[in-house]
Amino acid sequence: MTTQTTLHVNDVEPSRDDDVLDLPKIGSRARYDPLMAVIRNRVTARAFDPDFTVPEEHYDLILDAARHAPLGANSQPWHFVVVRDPDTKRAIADYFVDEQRARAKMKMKFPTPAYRGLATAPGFIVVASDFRWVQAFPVLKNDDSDLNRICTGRTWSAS
Amino acid sequence: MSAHLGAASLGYAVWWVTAIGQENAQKAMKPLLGISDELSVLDIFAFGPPARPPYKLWKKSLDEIVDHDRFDQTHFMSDAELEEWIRSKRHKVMFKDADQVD
Ligand SMILES: Cc1cc2nc3c(=O)[nH]c(=O)nc-3n(C[C@H](O)[C@H](O)[C@H](O)COP(=O)(O)O)c2cc1C
Repeated sequence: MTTQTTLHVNDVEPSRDDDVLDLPKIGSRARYDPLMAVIRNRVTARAFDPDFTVPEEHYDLILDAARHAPLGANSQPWHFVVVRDPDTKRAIADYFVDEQRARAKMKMKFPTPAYRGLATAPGFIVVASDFRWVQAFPVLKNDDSDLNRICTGRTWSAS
Repeated sequence: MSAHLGAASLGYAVWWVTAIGQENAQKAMKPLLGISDELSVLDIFAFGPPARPPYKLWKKSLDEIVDHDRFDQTHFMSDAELEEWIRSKRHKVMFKDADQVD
C-alpha cells in the first residue's frame, strides 16, 4: 500500500536532478532577444531548393523541439512520419496539386497557393494524431463550448 | 509551433500544409504512409532552404489586438463589417504589406 502511494507521487512529481528547470532571472533578456530573432525572422516559403539534403540530425533537433510543445492535458496524441522517399513525396504533392485545381474551379475568391512546390521540400514530416487518445482524456470531453465548436481536434497549433 | 521555431532557428523556411478536415487528403495519404485508419493526418511540415528569398508578411500591430482590463469595442467588427472585409480584402491577407490589405 505504502509502496503504491510512493510510486504514484513519483509519477506525478518527478524529483530527479535533470528535471530541475534552468530558467533565467525574471526580466533578463538574455534568452528573449535571441528567441525573438528566431520568431521575427520565421517565414513561410512554398518552394524549396530540391537539391539540398537535410542532415539526419536536423530532423532530430526539430522533432525534439516539437515534442516539448504544450498541449491540452498533455495528451500528446501525435505521431511524426519523416518522409525521405522522393516517390512518396511526389505522390503526396500530386494529391495537393489536384486539390488545388479542384479549388481553383470552385472560385473561392481566395488565392490557393501553388502546391507543386511541395515536391521540392527537402524536409518533409507528416504529422498525424490519434484522436482516440485525445478522447481518452476526460477534460477534453465534447461539449458545446466555443473551443469545441471551432477547433475540435486541433492539436497541431501546439506542435 | 515549436517545430517551426526549431526549424527556423536552424535557418530553414517552413511550409505547413493542412490535411485535416479533407477526407480526400486522408484517403490519399494514409495508404501511402501505412497510417492506420484510426489515426488522422493533421498536416505536412515541409521545410528546407527557400527556392527564392522569402519575405515577411504583414502582422497586426499590438495596438490593434491588445486591450487592458476590458475589451475595447472599437476593436469589434460587426457582422456587416466582417462581410465587407471578406468581400473586399480577405484575398489580400497573404500580401507582404499591411497597406495593401487596408
Ligand atoms: C497550422 C497551419 C496550417 C497551415 N496550412 C497551410 C496550407 O494548407 N497551405 C498553405 O499554403 N499554407 C498553410 N499554412 C501557412 C500559412 O498560410 C502562413 O503561416 C501564413 O500565411 C502566415 O505567413 P508566415 O508564416 O510567413 O507568417 C499553414 C500554417 C499553419 C500555422
